[in-house]
Amino acid sequence: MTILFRSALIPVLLCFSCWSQSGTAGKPPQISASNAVSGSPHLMPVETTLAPTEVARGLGELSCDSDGNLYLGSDSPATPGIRKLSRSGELLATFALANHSDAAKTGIEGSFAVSQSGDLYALFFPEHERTRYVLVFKSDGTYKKEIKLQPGFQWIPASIGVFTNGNLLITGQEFVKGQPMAPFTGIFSGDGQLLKELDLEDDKVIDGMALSGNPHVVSSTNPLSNRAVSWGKMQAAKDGNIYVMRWLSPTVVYAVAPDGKVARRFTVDSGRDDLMPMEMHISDTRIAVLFVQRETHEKLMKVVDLNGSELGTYDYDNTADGTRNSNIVHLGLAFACYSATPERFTFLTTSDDHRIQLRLAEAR
Amino acid sequence: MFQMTAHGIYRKIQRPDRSQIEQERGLTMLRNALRVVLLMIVGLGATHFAHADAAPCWTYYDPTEGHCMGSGGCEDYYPRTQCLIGCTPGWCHSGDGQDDCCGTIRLYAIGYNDGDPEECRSLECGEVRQRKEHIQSLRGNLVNTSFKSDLDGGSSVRLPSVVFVPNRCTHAYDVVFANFPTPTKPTPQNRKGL
Repeated sequence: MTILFRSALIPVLLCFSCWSQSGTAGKPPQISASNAVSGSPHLMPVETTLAPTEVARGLGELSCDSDGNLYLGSDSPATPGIRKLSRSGELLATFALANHSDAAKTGIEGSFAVSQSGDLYALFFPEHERTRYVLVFKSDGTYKKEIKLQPGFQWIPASIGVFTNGNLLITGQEFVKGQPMAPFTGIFSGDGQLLKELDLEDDKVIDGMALSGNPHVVSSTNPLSNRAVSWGKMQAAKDGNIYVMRWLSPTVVYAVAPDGKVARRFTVDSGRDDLMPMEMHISDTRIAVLFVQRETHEKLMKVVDLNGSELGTYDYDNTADGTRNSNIVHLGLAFACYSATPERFTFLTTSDDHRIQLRLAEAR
Repeated sequence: MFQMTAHGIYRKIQRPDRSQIEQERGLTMLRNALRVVLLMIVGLGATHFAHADAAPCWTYYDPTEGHCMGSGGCEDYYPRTQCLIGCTPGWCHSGDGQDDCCGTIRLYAIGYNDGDPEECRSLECGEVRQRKEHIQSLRGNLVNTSFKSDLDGGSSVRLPSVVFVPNRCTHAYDVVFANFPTPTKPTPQNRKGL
């Protein structure tokens, strides 16, 4: 029956461009593709700090806390664990997911979130189990506990957020036999019980896009996974809500309250449907979303408030005609942290000897 | 023929005649044959279930891409796909995929959908759970095996199916959508604005 329902959406969803155009209906005319880049204020690097000891040959998931500490997820299976760096790049803690004290399970680490108290919650996929876990660590990196997620079906969680009451908001995908997985979002208790399943407004549309093989959300190498979900982001804000972003352009953001109600839903539009939302960071009452053209690496930073109202649009690393400027210090793709007051954007790059560099940027 | 009794005294027992012996031999052979058949059934079953327990049912963990940097201002994304136990029959190899990201080789997983589809049946791969909201939505709309939707103007839609054909050259899947419905022009009713 699920299959039947999902198939009914396919004709609607074959035309992603029609869908995305409808999303902009009623809005003021969008700036054109080239003007979106060349006509915007720029993000300019104002300070570069070389991490004293830490090196990286690549960067995985990136996050930060309200103190400006940076969290670097594993860049590859060869370098497992999450690193916590200070603002000056010093290593403060390492969260070793594969060697935690419960039965020393080996497995794959997933997305992670930092709670307001500073605890780190990381999704974990044991190598020989279909059960999904959340591992909790104290801010100094010591292992605290594991949470066995018990939704009652097979799934792959994608991103996680932590409410101030200790409940978890997790979005991911549920297995559907022989078809792309279906979006799922739920609130779990601190012991892993599913408390509530959320009905996010666009999930049926997103689901239908995957079913129709829409290349915006499905890759040829992994046709069963829906990247609108698996490549989305999630972060808690000071208003107590958790903001869930889908990997779409224009992107859809839901503000989910601790009781599971969707307080708000809004879109963030780069003005171009080929710029995809690669990172999202929240500070105070502002959300910064980095859009990137994945082939040319054109970049556009959008800052909105918690209602989705636009506060700023910035480009960087580009020349006036939108091409890459090789004569400037680049900020790169690794947008790691956003601070609203004063407004600062932190990027990570690496030096020639692979040492991590923290680059602070401001809008000019 | 003598047989020792409980009291330690041998007593002569009556030897059966030839026809009785042959009858008993026949029964014994039949019993042995049945035992062999039973053992074979048990053995095959055990082998089957043991194989099912160790079934190479996989799926991908497909997180957001990693970033790499290199000399000359190179910057790029690279896949971080990994193997998990999942619902696709076949094998998944962690390092079969390679990506050159700014001069550094990045390995990622490649899965092969070449297993027995029956092997993953025991894993509750989308067979047990039926989402209640979907079921509620279907009430009153279900017409035999096709679905009449007000979104597509009431026309019936055939169920699509996704077929994966592993391409050994590219180490990736070729995706074939079979029974795919003909795209319909969106109408004001079936557009879903964002």
